[in-house]
Amino acid sequence: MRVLVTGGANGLGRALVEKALAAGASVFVVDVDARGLQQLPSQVTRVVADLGSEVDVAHALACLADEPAFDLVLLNAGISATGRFEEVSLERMERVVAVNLIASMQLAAGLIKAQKLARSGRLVFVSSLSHYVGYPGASSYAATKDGITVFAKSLRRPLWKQNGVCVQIVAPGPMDTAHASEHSPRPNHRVGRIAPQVVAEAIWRSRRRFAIVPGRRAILGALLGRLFPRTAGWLMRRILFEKMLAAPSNTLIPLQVQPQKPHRSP
Amino acid sequence: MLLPGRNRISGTFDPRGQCYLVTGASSGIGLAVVRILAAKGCRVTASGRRPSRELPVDFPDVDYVTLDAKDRTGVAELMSRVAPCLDRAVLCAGAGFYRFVEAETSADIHRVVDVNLSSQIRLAHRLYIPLARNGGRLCFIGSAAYKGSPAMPVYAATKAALDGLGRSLALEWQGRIVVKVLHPGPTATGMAERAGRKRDWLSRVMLPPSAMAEMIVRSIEDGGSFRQTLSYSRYLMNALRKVRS
Ligand SMILES: NC(=O)c1ccc[n+]([C@@H]2O[C@H](COP(=O)([O-])OP(=O)(O)OC[C@H]3O[C@@H](n4cnc5c(N)ncnc54)[C@H](OP(=O)(O)O)[C@@H]3O)[C@@H](O)[C@H]2O)c1
Repeated sequence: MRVLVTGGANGLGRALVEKALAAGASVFVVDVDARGLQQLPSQVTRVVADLGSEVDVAHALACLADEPAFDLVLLNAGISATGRFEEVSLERMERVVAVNLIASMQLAAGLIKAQKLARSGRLVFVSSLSHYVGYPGASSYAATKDGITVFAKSLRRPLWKQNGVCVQIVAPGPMDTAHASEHSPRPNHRVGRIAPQVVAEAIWRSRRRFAIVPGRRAILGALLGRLFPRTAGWLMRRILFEKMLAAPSNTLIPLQVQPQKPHRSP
Repeated sequence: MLLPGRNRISGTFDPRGQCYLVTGASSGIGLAVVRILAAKGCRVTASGRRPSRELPVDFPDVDYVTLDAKDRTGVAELMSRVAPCLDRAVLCAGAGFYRFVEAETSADIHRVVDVNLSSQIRLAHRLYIPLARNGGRLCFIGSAAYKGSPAMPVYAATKAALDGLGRSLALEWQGRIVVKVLHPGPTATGMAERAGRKRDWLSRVMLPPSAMAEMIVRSIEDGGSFRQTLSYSRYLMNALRKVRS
């Protein structure tokens, strides 16, 4: 079994890497966090690449060119930008679009063209619960997650027919990772967050269904979003956006100037 | 309780004398929107990628600004030409390829996302102040393909992203700016052919751009959901209503 994970040095990606290693798979990780990559077990093959950069995406694809096909590909690298849309810097939002949407589509297209997906393998995109409920306070992020979900939906049938490859998305709610806490209205509030290991486990187990929604809270959220989109949106505004605005401003401002640390998708 | 989409900024709206910004105005749907608005006597700032000398000879007599979506600095120039009284922004610029994922290239993926999503984000960011000042409306033009399409996965993804941007922005800006995402069905603008789609039976039954533009201009003023699909059912309903009256 061969597994490829982008953003595999931390958070959800890391949890899946550990799961795969425990199952005896050989693992390939792409991440911008060179130090995080070094801390992975030695048998992991790794490539340092900033997926917000066109050159690095091409470099990552070039490194994959000599690899045999993968049975499981998790396109997980993602970043967020929270705050009022009009106050978040354009640079930050463009980077969110580059990493979450452009790079994911480029990597998927590159892997498909180079036939790097093994027959009856899986191509999994990390989306977000925001796909079902919206995300005021992270509009550019929500846009990219809807984009990647529909990209996956569009690929599902052709890839299944041609190569027996199963295309899926995973839509976790808030996770107990550095990324999710940083963008939360209450950064230290961990209640109700799902552990990345649980999400990784759900990804590992769900081999067929299109949308993997891990945990009961996320399922309830997704159902609410589907059945009562207006109520879901109203709730998201009340419990997330308004709290975010009311939070001490130091939780918002650093996002605009922070160095480009790697974050993993919630 | 105020539910999103049921906007506070309602009441009757008369487009005459109002200020509009229309992007993608040099061709197709955007051009048809400009024609309607100009005929109604609205003040319009239009923008498109091509230089003004390449505009159709019967282009309406409105201010035109050349702006390529990938030009990050040109946005400031466009904003300086937009009237401070801006009431409505209709963002029609868009492009894509009709091709399966195997035929995609990294460069084209980047280009399509830039036109259909990143440049819309850049514009929305700068339009916040003028539109909020006037209790205005921001309207993104998506596509009925926003739910997914195997024959144009990248284009569909960018339109879904635009839909997602509009949904969350509508919630953020609730009470200040009404945000809409309108999803046109197949429209006979030549875009499909330019995108690489072969002419077939569908090409013959595509909606006329003028009818699509009419639906758009009307839908901008609607209450209700941020999202509306403008396709055959809406078109036929309108036609029926016209016959009746
Ligand atoms: N036609 C359809 O069936 C259909 C269906 C659903 C949705 N839509 C959407 O409706 C919108 C208008 O489509 P249309 O049919 O009117 O297409 P169109 O006739 O090809 O017009 C596209 C417009 O976008 C402008 N544009 C394209 N690339 C640009 C760039 N890089 N920078 C700046 N402007 C750029 C074009 O400018 P120039 O011509 O000057 O280059 C033109 O004004 C698009 O967003 C499209 O996705 C169309």
